[in-house]
Amino acid sequence: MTLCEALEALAGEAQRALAHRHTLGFGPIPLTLQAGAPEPLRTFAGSLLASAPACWPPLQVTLLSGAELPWDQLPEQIRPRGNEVLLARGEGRTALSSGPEQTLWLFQPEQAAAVFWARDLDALPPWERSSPLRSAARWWAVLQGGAMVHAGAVGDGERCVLLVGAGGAGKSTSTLACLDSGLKVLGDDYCLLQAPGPSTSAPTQGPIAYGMYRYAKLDERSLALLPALRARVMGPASRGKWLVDLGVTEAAATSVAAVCEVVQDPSGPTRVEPLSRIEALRALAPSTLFQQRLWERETWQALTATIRSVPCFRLQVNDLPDVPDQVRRLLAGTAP
Amino acid sequence: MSPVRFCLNANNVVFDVIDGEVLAIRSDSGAYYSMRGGAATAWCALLSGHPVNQLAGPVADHHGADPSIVGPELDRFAADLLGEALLTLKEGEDMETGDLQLPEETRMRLWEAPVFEVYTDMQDLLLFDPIHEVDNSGWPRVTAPTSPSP
Repeated sequence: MTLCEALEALAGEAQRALAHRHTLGFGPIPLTLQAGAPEPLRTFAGSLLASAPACWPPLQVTLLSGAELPWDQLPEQIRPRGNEVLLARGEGRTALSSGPEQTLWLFQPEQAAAVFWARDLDALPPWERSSPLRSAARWWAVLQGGAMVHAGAVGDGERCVLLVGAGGAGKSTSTLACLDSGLKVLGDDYCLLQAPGPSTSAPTQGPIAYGMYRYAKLDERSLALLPALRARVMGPASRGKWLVDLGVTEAAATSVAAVCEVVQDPSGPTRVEPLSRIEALRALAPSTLFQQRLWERETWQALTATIRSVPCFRLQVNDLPDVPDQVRRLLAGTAP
Repeated sequence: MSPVRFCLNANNVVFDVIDGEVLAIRSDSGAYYSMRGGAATAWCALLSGHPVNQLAGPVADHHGADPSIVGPELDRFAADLLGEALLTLKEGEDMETGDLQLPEETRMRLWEAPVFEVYTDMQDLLLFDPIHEVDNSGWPRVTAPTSPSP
């Protein structure tokens, strides 16, 4: 069996498993979940934000578990196995097979459809439960002229600041420090970005962000810094990470007012200062692109267009309670 | 002997020049690069496909600098870029390259030697989950048996 035949066979298997089909969406992509979906699937889908006014066409995601489509019934050539992560493309279909996670994606952009197979939905790692179906969101966003960016986002309901930085820089912790401050947290780790450009209502439109997920992940150290968030913790920790409910239920479109790199700096007060666009791009692009796997060039174009269209800053964090006020300054345009 | 020319390693590199600085990313290795000083002009000159030995003059003119200073610094920068596989050698002798376009934003800016910084802190993101792309003949043969574990 050639690779193309294998991909076609998998598409056929997914079609035959239609009785177990559940249609999901992300933020600006419509979301529905069939009544009667099994509990593991409901929990899994619970992290996805409900639909906002759709700016992108829907992507139909078919979820299948090993109970519905056993591992040994997958086409032999694309079964997840060993420690391999394999990518295959053929005749308009792309498959990503992860041996370590025992998951398999089949993406069919021409049909606006994707299949996600997980051997065991209960055994998915915490990052897949807090921010599920990321691969399809990334790929679909790119094909709509946007991107799924590795960034936190905090706003006032109309405008937001993207908080960017490498893992461990304090991006999530600073973002979550804005909860219960009167500001709206769109997401701590990922959000969808519509790149600037012409829109149906205006010849030019700035970048727009959408939240994607209802839950954030925090480790014990960050939770100790933000003890008030313990009331938002969902269930027990898994692999050292707690799921924190952001308390948002829909993904509203929010204009991006600024991009802000987060760094920890105990040497002075929490403050913002101007940042060159290239430095902001350096804080935003690598971690976004290296998780992208496909269509990096198109993602890059969305990121650079965004960076070129908004002011950029660095947020030097010392005292977390001071973060919301600094974000307000950025939203108000009164930062230096 | 053919003149030495370069071109972008377009399969694996994305880049942008903004405000006189360059950021380039190699999507296959997880390395990324920040370039400052005279790098924006030098980068555009080297990517133009013009023979390298004809670049020092135009780059120096662009900055109002001395070609005898710019030339060796351009060579060092080119060696850095080649060493990191951001550029590749361009084959062929008689190639149409058109006019040499250098960035307006750096015109007559004081020449400084290109600063080339390499970042590898995110390579783990790729190494942790290395992806192997397969061709239409199918999955590569793996040495381990196709066991259903883990």
